[in-house]
Amino acid sequence: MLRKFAAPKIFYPLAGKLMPWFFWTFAVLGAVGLYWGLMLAPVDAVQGQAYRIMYVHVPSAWMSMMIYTSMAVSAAAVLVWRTKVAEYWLLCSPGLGASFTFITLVTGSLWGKPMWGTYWVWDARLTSELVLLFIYFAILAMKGAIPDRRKAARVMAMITVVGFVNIPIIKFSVDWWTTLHQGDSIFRKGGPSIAPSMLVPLFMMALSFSSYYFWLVLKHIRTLIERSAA
Amino acid sequence: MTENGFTLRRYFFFCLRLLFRQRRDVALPLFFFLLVSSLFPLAFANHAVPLLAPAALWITLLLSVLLSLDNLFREDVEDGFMEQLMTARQPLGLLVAVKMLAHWIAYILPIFICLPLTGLWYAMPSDTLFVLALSLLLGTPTLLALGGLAAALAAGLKQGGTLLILVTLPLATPVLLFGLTMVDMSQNGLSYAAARDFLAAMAVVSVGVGPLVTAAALRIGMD
Repeated sequence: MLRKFAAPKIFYPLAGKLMPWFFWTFAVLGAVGLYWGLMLAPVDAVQGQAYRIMYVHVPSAWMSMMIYTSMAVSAAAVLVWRTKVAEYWLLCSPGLGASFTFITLVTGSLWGKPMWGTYWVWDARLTSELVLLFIYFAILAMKGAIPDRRKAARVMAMITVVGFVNIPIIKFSVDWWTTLHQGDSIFRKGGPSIAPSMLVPLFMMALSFSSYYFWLVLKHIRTLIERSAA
Repeated sequence: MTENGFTLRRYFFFCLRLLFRQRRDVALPLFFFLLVSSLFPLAFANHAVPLLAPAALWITLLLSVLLSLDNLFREDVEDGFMEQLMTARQPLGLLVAVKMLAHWIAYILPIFICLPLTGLWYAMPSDTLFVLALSLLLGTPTLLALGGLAAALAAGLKQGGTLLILVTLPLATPVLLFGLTMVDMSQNGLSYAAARDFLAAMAVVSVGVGPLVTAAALRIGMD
């Protein structure tokens, strides 16, 4: 069933149909979410106005992990079935993943300065996000070193899978230091500890960011299909 | 099996003999280890040295291992011996495991033999040195497995040596951190069993799975 959609002949028009939906979700929710988050949402009782950087920081952090997970899934498909569309997905994703990881680190630093008094600490979350950025870089470096796209995809798949196994271990290894980053306030037992008027725009931004990613990946994959057909 | 047949044991001694004949190349990572670990006490004020020692030695060992791995498969891939190995009766994963064992003996064992010397340079108490050596010992199988995989992927590429380092270092972070946690705990008089067991678990998985994954990576490189 899934493999049927993975055939480039079927995937190409399907992606073409989905792209405008992703684009408009990205544009509309992004505009509404940003305006709501930055202008309408109430001022935080503890963090004041500074918390509003959350509307970029948190969705980017989610994206950095979501993109890696999607890469790990496609890596499995590449290694087991040599699925072409999965290869394309793997080739298109790490650049975007690295960008979102970079945005997460930069916005996090800017948020850290007023809240913690420092741009950077070697705490568990920050360190594992930085290592994630380095893993993205490693995958991109390998991609750049191999001219043959299919072979590059399989090499990238190997590193992605090993990295995916490694990420919880990295998280665990750095968790042994005490952590400064605030705990989870959204996906936690007993429901979110954020007021709905702050939470709704956050989810809008998350949806907008992921639509942006899907829109770009589909666009890129269609280009790769066109190029391989030509 | 005939007298001249290709067996795992023969391959192991073949690898060792080959490494012994290239002993000048094999000595380079050891020389690198001694050189770099002598730089830290020189560069830092004397009083900071004992504090710094475990981290400095761990990072130096990590880099020495990566340096040694550059040629793990490169020559075999370039001169076509790897293709011969792939057609051998023995599974490629086992051959890779044997090669890595020979590699460990030739490159990493000498570093452990020199470890007491560097312990002297850093004025380390003997019990700290013991825990450090144990953490390095438990860490090297995982370092070899991760680095071996990267070496297999990078074997035929330009800039392969640099890529090997770029790919391995982020993945090797946990080994470094658990190793240093172990030393840190013991220096503070706490039990280091948890970090030790974690390193040992990673080593067991690395020895079991690493050669198989590396063999698969070599096959990708051959396509």
